[in-house]
Amino acid sequence: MTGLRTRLTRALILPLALISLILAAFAAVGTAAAQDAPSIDVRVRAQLHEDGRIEFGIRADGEILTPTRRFFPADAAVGRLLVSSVVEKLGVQLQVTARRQADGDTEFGIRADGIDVLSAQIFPAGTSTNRWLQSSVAAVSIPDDPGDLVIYSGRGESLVGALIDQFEDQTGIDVKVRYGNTAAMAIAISEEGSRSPADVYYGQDAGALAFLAEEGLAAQLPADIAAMVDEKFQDDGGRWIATSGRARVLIISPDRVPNPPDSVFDLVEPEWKGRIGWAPTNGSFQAFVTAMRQIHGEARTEAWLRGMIDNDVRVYPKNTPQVQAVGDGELDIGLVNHYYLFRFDADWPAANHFTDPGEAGALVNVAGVAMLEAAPNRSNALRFIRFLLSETGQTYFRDQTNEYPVASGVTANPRLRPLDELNPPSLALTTLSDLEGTLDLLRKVGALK
Amino acid sequence: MTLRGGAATVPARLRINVPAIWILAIAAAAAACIPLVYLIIRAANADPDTWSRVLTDGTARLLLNTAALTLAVTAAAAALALPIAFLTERTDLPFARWWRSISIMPLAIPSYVGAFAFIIALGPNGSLQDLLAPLGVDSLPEIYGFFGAWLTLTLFTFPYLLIVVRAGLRDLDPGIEEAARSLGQSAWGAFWRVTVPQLRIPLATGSLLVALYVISDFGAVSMMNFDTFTRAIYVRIGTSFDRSSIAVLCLILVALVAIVLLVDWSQRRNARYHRLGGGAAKMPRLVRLHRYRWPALIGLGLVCAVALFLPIAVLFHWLSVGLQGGETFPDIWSEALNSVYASALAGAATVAVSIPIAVVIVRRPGFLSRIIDRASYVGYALPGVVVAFALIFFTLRVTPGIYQTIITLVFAYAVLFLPQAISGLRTSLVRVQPGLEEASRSLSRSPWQTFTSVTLPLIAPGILAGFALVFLTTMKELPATLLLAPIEFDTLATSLWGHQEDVFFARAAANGLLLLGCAALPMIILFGNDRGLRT
Repeated sequence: MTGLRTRLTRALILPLALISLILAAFAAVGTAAAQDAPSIDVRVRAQLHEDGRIEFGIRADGEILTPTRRFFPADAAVGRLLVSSVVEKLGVQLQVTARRQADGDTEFGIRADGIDVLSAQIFPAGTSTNRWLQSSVAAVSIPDDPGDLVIYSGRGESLVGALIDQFEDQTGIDVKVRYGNTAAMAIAISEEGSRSPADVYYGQDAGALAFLAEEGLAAQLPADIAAMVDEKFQDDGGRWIATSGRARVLIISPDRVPNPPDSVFDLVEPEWKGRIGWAPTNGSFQAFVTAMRQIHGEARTEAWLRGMIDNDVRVYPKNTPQVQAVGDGELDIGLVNHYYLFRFDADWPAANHFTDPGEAGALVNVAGVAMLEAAPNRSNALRFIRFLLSETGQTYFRDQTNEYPVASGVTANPRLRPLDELNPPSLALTTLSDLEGTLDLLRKVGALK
Repeated sequence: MTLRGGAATVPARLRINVPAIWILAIAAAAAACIPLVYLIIRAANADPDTWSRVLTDGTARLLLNTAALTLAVTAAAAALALPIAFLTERTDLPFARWWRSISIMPLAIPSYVGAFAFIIALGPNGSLQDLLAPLGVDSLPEIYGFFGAWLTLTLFTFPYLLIVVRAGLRDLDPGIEEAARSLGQSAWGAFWRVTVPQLRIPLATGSLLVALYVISDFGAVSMMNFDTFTRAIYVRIGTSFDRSSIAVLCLILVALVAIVLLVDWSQRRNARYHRLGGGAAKMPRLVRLHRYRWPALIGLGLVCAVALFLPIAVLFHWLSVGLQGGETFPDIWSEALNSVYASALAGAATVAVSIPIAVVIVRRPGFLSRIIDRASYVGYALPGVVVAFALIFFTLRVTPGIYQTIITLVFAYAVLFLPQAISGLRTSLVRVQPGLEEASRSLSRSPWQTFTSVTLPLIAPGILAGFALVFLTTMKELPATLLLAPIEFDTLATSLWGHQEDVFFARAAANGLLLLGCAALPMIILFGNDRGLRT
């Protein structure tokens, strides 16, 4: 018995000793790293334009960063502090502060993660135009642990995973994502309530976002975020904001439909009998019907729905099978979102057709984000939202997911009809969350069982 | 056709530690009822007009649709499972050992994948149409609707019945059949008059598994565009976010399930199925198929071709298209590991939890054990997403520390699939003579020793069957996994769904094929290895 115990002890001592050695080594490296905390050198740079505005930017470790809002107006009120939009460097969020002094000079400074790290850098009133001046340097330490972020995403990993990875690499934040169904996850968050581990909810449609806002689960977003996107594409109360858009289109077979109709209302003509398809259980379709009820009235919508059914509309479970069916020759015209086609091969025999921009057929719906009221990591949540709306994020949506960008001046794919020609002006997206009436109507006419 | 012969003592009961087994059984059944409690809490919040809003003219039609589909699928699944079980277990069918494994594999194909494959292959202008076009076939019958839903669900659920019936068939004492034969019954007569009635419990439990699966399925009916009650629940979840009206709908579904369970209750009399004679049961004689050999092979091959090889062919097609396009599959191996890990845990845990329930159902028949039996079906019959909502609600209030851990996930699987494990077990347990257990007790073995050294080895086929059922079903489970798994714990099924949603068909196909492979491996180990009967 004793022998065994001794042998066991011996067998354990060596590995234990090794493990402690390794741990000690790690600890030593860790302390060394902490002593030599990395930092970024930042300065303000500014130049006077001929119209009297002062353009400014930040130089961080030699790299020039340009905030989206970077002009100090010529007629700025004396003594009022203005703050630029955020630029990010190695996980630090930088903003330029500026104030007009009584003597006409302009005072610049830098704010890092909300703290003023540089101030009273004077830009004299009489400086010559079109010449960049630089301020003195401030060192901003990079936080050791940028913290965590938990995202509940109703958008698939294949769609947005690469963008989220990019955010993680850029900021060093440990991002965890739960992917799932947009609606089910919104309900799950409302069941979790204040105990929800989620910081950000990233949803596929405005309805789910509006639900979270109405339940009091979404927090108010700061004004600089709200300013990045057209009012049409965000909550009135600033509790959610769109990140990208998608348009309703007709998916058509160019061979069999050489002259596609320019209005969805034409689809009830005898010409299209048995050649049209829709997906009545699909959320985007229902949002479109809700839009139609609001723009064209209940009676006309009901007549259209009945006309479609009388015209032997084929029923599909969702959008993709319609694009598939058009290519397979099973269907001539389907009612879908514009981007499904881009997910098929380039030579897939189907085409997007945009209908009359004044009608519900031209509805633009959005994917968007909300920060949760109970978010454990608020500042990281806001950084993520700013990232989605940044040029990087918006360009990604245009080029990778084939959606419409909604912020940062990124223009849409030239193959698509421009966004401002699409959304019928008489429609607010938030009212699309009221789906009960649409469902009742769809059931009444027999489109939904 | 029950066996009430000889000097059998009045219901022989196992005198094991009574309170313990009851407490365990009641606790397990109560856990399965958590979703019901949640629904009642949520529905209680509903304002009065929720009920009238939910109960529209369409409700009756939805219920009729659901009932019709359930009956049709269950009948067809039984019609497939019974002969296949017999062929693979009792006849000299060539390669019977392989057929035993292959014929249960359709269970590993998620119904939404199977439905999608059927639409592509059998739909109007699908691949089959292309093949038949030169023969002058212009169009195929409509696949969408009742027919497609029925076909899909039948072919992907009949193995539930098959596994249970086969376990029952294997435990059957062939002496009775031989007695029937010696009394002048033909082989066919003996099968219908003796064997099939003896299989009543496996047939009933297996049918119940199929029926309730159909009631709670969403994947197949949504792809095939057939309106059932569960589909209506999912549509409402996707559009209204109103939890109380969702709960009201679910309670109506529970009422429907209660009717099914009551029908089944009245079906099960207090029959006894175990041997009363002494000694061990003989090995049954292998039936020689002779001239039926080829028709049997062709029939079996046809079923497997449609239910297994057709979806596999579609998946391979997508995969090869994707591989030519340079598609990569970054996380697929870790997803496979997660799937197998979670499913094996779920299988083991669910079988363990189901043992006390199976023991009280079989050994202590009575009102209470019937209630426990019926209660264990509640979680299984509800849509998975609703069970997930219920467990979010409960774990965060009761044990927030385990929220979104593998413990919650496995617990959810147990709540969802408890009846599958019970079905596997009870078909075996009813064959064990209580006398053996009593003998062991009389030789001063403790109840626990008796259970481990006598009962457990005897019910091993049932344990295997229960494990296999839960394992395979967990492999493809989706809605509860999406909401309750530890964050970033991706499984083959969840990322398959994601890829399919996002139209990355090649990646979805790779996941589907690996899912099948991961499911096949344990099945071959568990079922392929045993050589069956001596020829």
